[in-house]
Amino acid sequence: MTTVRTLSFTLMLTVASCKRTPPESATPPSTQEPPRGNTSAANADSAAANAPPSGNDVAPGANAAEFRAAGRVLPRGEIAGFRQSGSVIHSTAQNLFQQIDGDAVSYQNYNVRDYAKTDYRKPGTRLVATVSIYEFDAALGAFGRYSMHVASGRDPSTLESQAVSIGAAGFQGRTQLVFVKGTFLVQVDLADESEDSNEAQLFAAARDALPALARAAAQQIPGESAPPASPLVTEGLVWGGGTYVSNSVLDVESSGPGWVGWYRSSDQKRYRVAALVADSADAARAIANRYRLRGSAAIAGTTADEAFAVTLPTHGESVVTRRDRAIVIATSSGIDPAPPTLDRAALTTAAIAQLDRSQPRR
Amino acid sequence: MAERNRPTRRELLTRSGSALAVLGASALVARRFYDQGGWQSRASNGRREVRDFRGQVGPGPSDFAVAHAEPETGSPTQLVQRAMAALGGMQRFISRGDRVVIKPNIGWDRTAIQAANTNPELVAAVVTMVKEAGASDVIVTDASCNDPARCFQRSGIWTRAHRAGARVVLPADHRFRTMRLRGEILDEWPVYRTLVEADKVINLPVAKHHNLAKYTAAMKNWYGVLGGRRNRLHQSIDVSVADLATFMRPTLTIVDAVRVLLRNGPQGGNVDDTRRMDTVIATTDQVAADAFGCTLIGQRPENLPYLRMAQERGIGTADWRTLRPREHAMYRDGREATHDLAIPAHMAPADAAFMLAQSLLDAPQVVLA
Repeated sequence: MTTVRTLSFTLMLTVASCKRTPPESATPPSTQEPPRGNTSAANADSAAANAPPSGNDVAPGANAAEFRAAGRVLPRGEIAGFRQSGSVIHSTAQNLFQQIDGDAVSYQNYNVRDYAKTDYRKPGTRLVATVSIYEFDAALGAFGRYSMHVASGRDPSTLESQAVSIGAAGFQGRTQLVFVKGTFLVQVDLADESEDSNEAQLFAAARDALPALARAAAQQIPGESAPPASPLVTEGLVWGGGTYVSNSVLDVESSGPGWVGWYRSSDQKRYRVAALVADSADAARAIANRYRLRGSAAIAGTTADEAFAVTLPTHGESVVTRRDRAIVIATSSGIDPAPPTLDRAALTTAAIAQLDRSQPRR
Repeated sequence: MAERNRPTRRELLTRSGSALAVLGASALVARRFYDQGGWQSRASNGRREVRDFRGQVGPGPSDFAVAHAEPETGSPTQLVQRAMAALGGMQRFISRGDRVVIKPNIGWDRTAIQAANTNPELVAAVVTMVKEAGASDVIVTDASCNDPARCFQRSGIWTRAHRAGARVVLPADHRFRTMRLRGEILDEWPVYRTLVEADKVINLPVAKHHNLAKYTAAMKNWYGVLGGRRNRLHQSIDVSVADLATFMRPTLTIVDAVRVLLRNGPQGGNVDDTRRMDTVIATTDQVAADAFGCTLIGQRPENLPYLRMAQERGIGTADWRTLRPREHAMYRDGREATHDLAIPAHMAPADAAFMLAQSLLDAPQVVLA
């Protein structure tokens, strides 16, 4: 009897130790029919997700408590025929990846603090607007991330988007409006969930709906409507081309933050200028040395403390100048299709002009 | 009575010894047979865990096909049909009775025009082709980044795939189980079982810009096989992408480049950041798919470290020229033509891809031999 019990015990222990989850084919997942309406509040794995919504597609609005943290500036009620629909989705900076995946890193680089978004639906249609709010620690961070969004690395002179006068800075594309005000970056997207979505009709609807929703959000945001002070020379600066970079200016690692401007000269030549300001002259010298690669050649006869020409790995021939705590780099690369660009002498002139603004001569 | 049932010292020692022996033996047995890779662990690549779904794929005219159309000329359905025909047809990859999982990108609560997810018509077309090839069961699923219900619905994939006859499965906690992937970054991670328990797996990503990885499509699409806190992966995104592609070896990769997100990826949102390219890439090699696909957004393969890592691990080749590449072009005047991709022998794969990509965008007929 003892032997039987021991063997049984052994068998049970072994089975328990080696327990595997049974293959899914043994219990196949049930087919889930698509709902015909809004499921934002539905549990994806519940029967509720399978059932078509009753009545129209506008879900009940979020309760007042949901408009908290970054969500406190989300428009409420009905705006321009769009009614707030469903719950407010929240995220902290640490969990932002759960909402926007790898893009979260680009927001965290600018010290994003909080995130919220919700939908607005137009009754009787399949149009849905989504307002996303990013709140940053500082206005400079919000503007910096906004500035990266405008052109996303491409020549801003080719942008189809148009400037809008909402907040400190903003632009409107055919289905998206983005603006920055104070420590908030606000993104409004319009989509048509119809299967037979008509692009022209969507774009027409967006022209009216996006500014209305954006203005409603802007009204909720306290603070100044002016962009943070930029050290960039304004003459020749292309609209959308003033960007604040959190690090790795012109793709040189650990440069620290800086501004990059896209310019067009009076004779229509194109170039870019990067401006960085360090805490001390020694720190600035160290940063400048990061750009001093093999083959760099000193440029004499300038008013800078140091100036040299260098071929940067991803930006080609560039001119680097430094005066006291300020570093300025001028380059002609990265503009596509390649227009007439500045030669070394002209790049040096542009760099010194920026240097005079960033760090006036002693 | 109680006194009579009390065990003697000898009995106590014997029972204790037996119990300890049983515990020790079960520990040894458990250690020997502990599930180290889950079901269907078919192969390993050194220390790494592999789910290899390539199976017995028969010979075909090509292992790399690009179908493209002039604007307003070819639908997503036609493009994928032409690309698959150039590979030898879906029946080359799918056998009668197969249980097939199709993995589109359904990561975002975006509509098709925003090009963050795989085109829903393309997904439906692949479902239809797989069913026609004899699959007994076709599942469409993904572990979305945003709320799954929002993503599946707004992407249009839920409706279209269901209508085409697929079982659309939304991710849920009970469908994940922790597995040892043995990658450099991906050590032990919750894996979406629905995606790895199949006879065949078709990778069906969308080609797009990615702020962190620069370009993503085939290899990065396997992020959808993972649960847990995926932010850890983004700290070394190239290595984690290579780890995932090491783990998942699909039967077939079909890249949707019908409309491509050129900027502000992966989530996008602004139609102005997209461009209609009317292109579909179908291949047996996910590395080649990304090496070619990245050129569509102006990237070069050498700028994507995960491609080099994947090639070094033997996952595939970035030199798609070795895969007997074919292309199918559809013209506005109704003509269609399939050719070998004409590539100058002296040209590096990246340069050749660039040339082809630009040709696709500007004037498809230029690349025809």
